[in-house]
Amino acid sequence: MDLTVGENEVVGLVGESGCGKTVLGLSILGLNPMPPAQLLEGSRILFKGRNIADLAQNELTLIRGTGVSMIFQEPMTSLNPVFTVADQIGESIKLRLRREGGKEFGPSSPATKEEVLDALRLVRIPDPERVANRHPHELSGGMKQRVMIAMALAAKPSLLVADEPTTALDVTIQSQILRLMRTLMREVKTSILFITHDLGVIAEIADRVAVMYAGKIVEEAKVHDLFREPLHPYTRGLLASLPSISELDKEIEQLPGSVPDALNPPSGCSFHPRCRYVMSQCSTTVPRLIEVKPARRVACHLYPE
Amino acid sequence: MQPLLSVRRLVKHYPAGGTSVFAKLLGRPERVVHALDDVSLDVSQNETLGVVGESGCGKTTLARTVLLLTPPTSGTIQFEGVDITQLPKHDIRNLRSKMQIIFQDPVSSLDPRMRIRDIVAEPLIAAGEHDHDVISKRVESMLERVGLSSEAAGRFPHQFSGGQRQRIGIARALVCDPKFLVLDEPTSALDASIQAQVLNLIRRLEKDLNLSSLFISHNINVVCYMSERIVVMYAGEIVEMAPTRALLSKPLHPYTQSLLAAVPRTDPSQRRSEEVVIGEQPSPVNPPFGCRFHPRCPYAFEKCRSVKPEQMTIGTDRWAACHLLTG
Repeated sequence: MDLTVGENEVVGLVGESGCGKTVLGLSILGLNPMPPAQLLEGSRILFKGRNIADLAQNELTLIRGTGVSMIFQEPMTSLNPVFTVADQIGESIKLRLRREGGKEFGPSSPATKEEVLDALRLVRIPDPERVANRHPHELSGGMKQRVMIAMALAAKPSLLVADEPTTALDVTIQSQILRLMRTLMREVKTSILFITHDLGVIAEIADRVAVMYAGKIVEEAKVHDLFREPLHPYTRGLLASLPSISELDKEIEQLPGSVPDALNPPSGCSFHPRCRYVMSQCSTTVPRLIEVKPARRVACHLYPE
Repeated sequence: MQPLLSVRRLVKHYPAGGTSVFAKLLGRPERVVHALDDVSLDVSQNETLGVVGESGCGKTTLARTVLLLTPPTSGTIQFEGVDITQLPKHDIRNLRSKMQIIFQDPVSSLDPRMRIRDIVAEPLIAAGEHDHDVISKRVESMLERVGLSSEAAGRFPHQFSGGQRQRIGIARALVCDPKFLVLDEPTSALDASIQAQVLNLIRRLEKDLNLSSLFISHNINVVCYMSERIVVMYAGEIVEMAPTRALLSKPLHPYTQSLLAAVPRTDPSQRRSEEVVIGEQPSPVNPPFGCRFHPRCPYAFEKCRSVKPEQMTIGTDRWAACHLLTG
């Protein structure tokens, strides 16, 4: 895996279930339980030029939530049911203030009511005074996701890892949240790593896209290039398999087979058993992710080095 | 020609709970969930009618009520000209072989302790078929039809992937040769590449077997791909019905318009900057007066807050329930 996120950039990470997108997101924050998970020798995660992959837990805690924040898919299970919205956002602000003082532990002044309300106003929650005193179960799914975003942004992160933040939401609410995230990243100057299985969502929000298959990035491109001219057979197959209201007459094409077993991945290119362009070397040699055009990388033997 | 299925003024209310004994003693009305209110629709022979709407709009209640898996509060459901809500129990049982359902979750809708052959055979046996040779032949040909090998018959559900399990669900629904099929979010639990396989399979089977169906999904791209006509549901009611092409090129109801505008397009150059619809779906326990969409509607005026809009037929083949159309 090899991926960069620039400043003020939205990088979309797209792939089907089990391709490893969530694991990547969690790894950045050091949230995978280790052991059993382990980063292989030589793995590096550079955040603002500093390798955070082998930081000690207490140093990582300082980065988590202040440098890098995460939004999860399930707003219901990610919020604490016994605390009010104000408590939970207040905690995020409090931790930021404490860490800005360079401390991990120790006393800090609690967040003021006004700061909490500002965080709620930032995510366009109507009637923030009322919502601040609510518990999570009293809020709708869209509202909860707004609160999650408010919590993540209250820590003023420079990178936001958003793992399927709109998947549990209805389509009209999803478009509200996507719109909000796009506006907010300009306002608060943060970069976003947006993880999703939905190519439509990627097309709406990302600047650059990385497509994952079976634990590897198979293609990386600017969003317009990727949708105009997908290069990797998997990306092409994925795009051709989506029915779309803008092309009603399109007969959707199906990729044969299913995602390989992660315990027992195929030899060579892991997509070769499903690929229509398969060649002899595909089953023996793993293709490297190489730059085939400016700002476009593909891992496929169709595009020789 | 008479439609195969004809639903008129179907209502389904569930008790909402939380009505206190005190309130009951005072004779206050019991709180109810308005899951379906005044729903009417027709499905013709060999037609796929799509139902689209967001979670909680009553799609699944519609699926279950149409098949009498849950009894309607009021209204009629005519199937082949007979009002099935009035049928005695054993006649409903006979009806089951003609009307079948495919569920969303391919994991929980298959019994983990049964072999595939027994799962697929069950509707046949329930329909009164006892001849083992007939059953096994039928099961085998059905499995082949949905793209599973004959070895699959002896295995258990956990040995299959999500897409394959949905194929088993399809085989089970089609084994007794039904005329009418309800598909309740059949591909929502599947990955994109597998969804395409299952959608194309369903389309082919519907054509080959002359099936009529009700295709329910929250995904408007999928519903439009599968259906000739579409009904749009909002908060327990149908707000618009139109042929797919007409609906997409000129949505009449403001809710349909905002639903279409909210769908993410797989084309980054089509990113829209116009305002998205505000607010959220109302609570089904306490739906708004008048038009249920009025609190979110950008065009709402006085009448929308007090008077429920009637179905307004436009041209020959579509209608919408909105005061904008009547003025």
